[in-house]
Amino acid sequence: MSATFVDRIDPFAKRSLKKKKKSQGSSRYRNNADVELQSLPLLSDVSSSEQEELFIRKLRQCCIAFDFMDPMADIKGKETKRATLNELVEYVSTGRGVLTEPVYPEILKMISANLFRTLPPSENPDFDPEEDDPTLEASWPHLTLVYEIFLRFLESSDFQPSIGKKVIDQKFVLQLLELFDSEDPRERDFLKTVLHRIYGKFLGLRAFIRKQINNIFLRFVYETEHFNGVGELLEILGSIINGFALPLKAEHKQFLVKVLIPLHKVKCLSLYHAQLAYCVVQFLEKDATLTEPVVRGLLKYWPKTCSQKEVMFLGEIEEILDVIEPSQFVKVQEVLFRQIAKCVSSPHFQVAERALYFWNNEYIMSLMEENNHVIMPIMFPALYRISKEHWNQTIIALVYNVLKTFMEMNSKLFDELTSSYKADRQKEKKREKERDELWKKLMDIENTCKKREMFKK
Amino acid sequence: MDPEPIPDALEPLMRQLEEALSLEHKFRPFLEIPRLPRERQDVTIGIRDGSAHVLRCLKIWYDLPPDVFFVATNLMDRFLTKLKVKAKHMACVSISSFQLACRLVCGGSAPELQHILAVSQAKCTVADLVRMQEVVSTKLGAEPSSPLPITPYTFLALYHAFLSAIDRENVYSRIVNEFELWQLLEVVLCDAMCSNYRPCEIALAILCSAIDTGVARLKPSPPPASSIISLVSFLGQIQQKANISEKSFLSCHSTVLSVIGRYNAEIQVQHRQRLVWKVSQRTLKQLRPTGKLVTTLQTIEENGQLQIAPRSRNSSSSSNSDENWTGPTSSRHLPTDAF
Repeated sequence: MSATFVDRIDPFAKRSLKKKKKSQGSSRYRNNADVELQSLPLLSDVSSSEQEELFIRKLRQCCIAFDFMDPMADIKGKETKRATLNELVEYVSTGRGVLTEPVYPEILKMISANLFRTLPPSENPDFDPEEDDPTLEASWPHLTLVYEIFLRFLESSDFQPSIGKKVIDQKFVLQLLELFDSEDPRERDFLKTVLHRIYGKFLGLRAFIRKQINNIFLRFVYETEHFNGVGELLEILGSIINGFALPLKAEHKQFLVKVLIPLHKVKCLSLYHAQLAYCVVQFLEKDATLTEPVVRGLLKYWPKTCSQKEVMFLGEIEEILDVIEPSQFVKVQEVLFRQIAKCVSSPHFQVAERALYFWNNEYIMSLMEENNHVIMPIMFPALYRISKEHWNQTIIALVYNVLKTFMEMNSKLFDELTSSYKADRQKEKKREKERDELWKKLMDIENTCKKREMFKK
Repeated sequence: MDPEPIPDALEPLMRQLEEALSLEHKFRPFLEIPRLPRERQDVTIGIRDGSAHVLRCLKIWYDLPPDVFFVATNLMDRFLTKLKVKAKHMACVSISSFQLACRLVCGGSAPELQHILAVSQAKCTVADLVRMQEVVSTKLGAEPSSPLPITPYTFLALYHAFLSAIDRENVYSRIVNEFELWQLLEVVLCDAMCSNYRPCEIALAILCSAIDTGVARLKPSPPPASSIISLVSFLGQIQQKANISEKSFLSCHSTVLSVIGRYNAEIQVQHRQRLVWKVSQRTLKQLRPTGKLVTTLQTIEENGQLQIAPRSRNSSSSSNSDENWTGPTSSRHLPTDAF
């Protein structure tokens, strides 16, 4: 994935010329006239007693930011910094005892200087994350190395959280979270891993991180419907949910119902549905009693006008049913299958198809079998009607499969439902016929009256 | 008590019954198929019954008159009696018998072979079916112009007509619903155990069973005993007329009851059709949302610190993959069957 994205940064592309924006220069970047980067010796070339000081000097040097929007500016400086950063990646990964206490704040300073920036507004004001290609971060050649250093730092066997927690504090985490809105997926991927490590290592920050993520999600759902990093944050949450101790704390159950379920209602669900569904299913594997609120929640937010979303919801329901306990199934079966009956009747063939495909799932079939008295009467009218009315041949074939399955499951109930459906239809037809005849009689009376009127005159 | 004489108005029905009784033997199957296959391609009871169930489903699917199913199974069973059929040809035999029965009963409005083939998912071609129909109709003398075969339905319909005609006090109509009668007969004929009895016997056994259940249903306000007695005595007259021996009837009755008993117990059908679940490419690509997930991050225990596995020197920046999401298998395993 990285290869193709890098190829797309072409400073000579017409796109940058079209805008004809004269670069105003940013206050972040130093002018060309300023001091050039002093060249420093390699860390491998100095004695071990001098390494700490040299390390810190290099880190401070790397705090200087370069303007990548102007491809011609400071080429030498950029290259020096890149080489230095590269050297530091190696140094942090392979060095033993290089993470001394004085070095911690210097590393964090360098990281903050490079990463923490106001994200530029999207080049494309109508950026649609589902359709358009993202705008990539221009300074990626440096940023990627900064992230690497950060990651190796956190993952190093020499890393001591007791020292680290002095510099990686709530303020730092807050700024880190804001970066998740970056349009560049490579950056978000790094951030995801970095935050995962921070959450993992700093128990004192966990509650704070969870609260902030909550806020981001709630703002996303109820205010802006815009945030690029929902998927990445959900992926981290997945690993956190997986590790929840039992019994689940009330805070976590609240989170599921108040945050995760409402996340389903946003228009751009497809961007993070995989991660969201994973989180939901993990919750249910931890505590099966959450099944009812989850299913009812999904039914509450069931898409009414977007068929693609409906198909996604059906996929998620199947994953939930894959892990559902029979006692929980019984609690939700009626309300759930009423929705499924509607889906099966949908004129959108993909929705109907996806719903009918549930019958190809062995476990779901066994649940239906145990509870066929409840489910067959709910499904039957819709299925029987579609078998006569639907336009799509694939759907008809699937409906046959389902009806045949029902017939094999409980012939007697099947026959009863067929008879009563037919009887109902006959009654309905009779009523319609009576109504037509009544109208006809009324019209005749009207005509007779009209004729009489005319006669009188 | 003397049996009530059969009123004159029932003369036409009486004649039909006599005619049916005289022709009965011409259309009787005699299945001699094993429960377990002796050779690989043997048609077993399971395969025959599975085919009968498919035909029943098709009859319901197309909303066809009750005749169709009974004629179809009659043709199928008589064909199996006359010729040794291989299991792999069973689908072809049953579907062609079915469409032939449709044509015999419904004439021009019978569903097309291609359509039935598509719906039933039988693994043969239309050409196969056409050829098989030729064979079936030649071997069994079942041309479109020839009369319908005498089946248990012929007798059951006649008995029902009789009892409805003499039902002056509306007792019989409260006890027995005709749709339920036909359904019971369908269920019974889906079981090969009942194929070899005389059609008039099977029909009588079903009628008795239906009357028993019907009377039991009216328990809170049962019909007068005299009406029941006259019903039963009428059944006795039918048994006499058809020359059904007590011994033979008892055997048939108990077999029929056991089949109906299993039906009422709502037990799953033994012989399930191997169904093909075809969906569009678009749907197949996005069956489960988590199917798209490739790797997940390492689990972080709620009360513990994350221990990261040491990474290799040149590994990429992506997360450590610890668990891969794998969903359960979704395809069903179905028993081997001709369908």
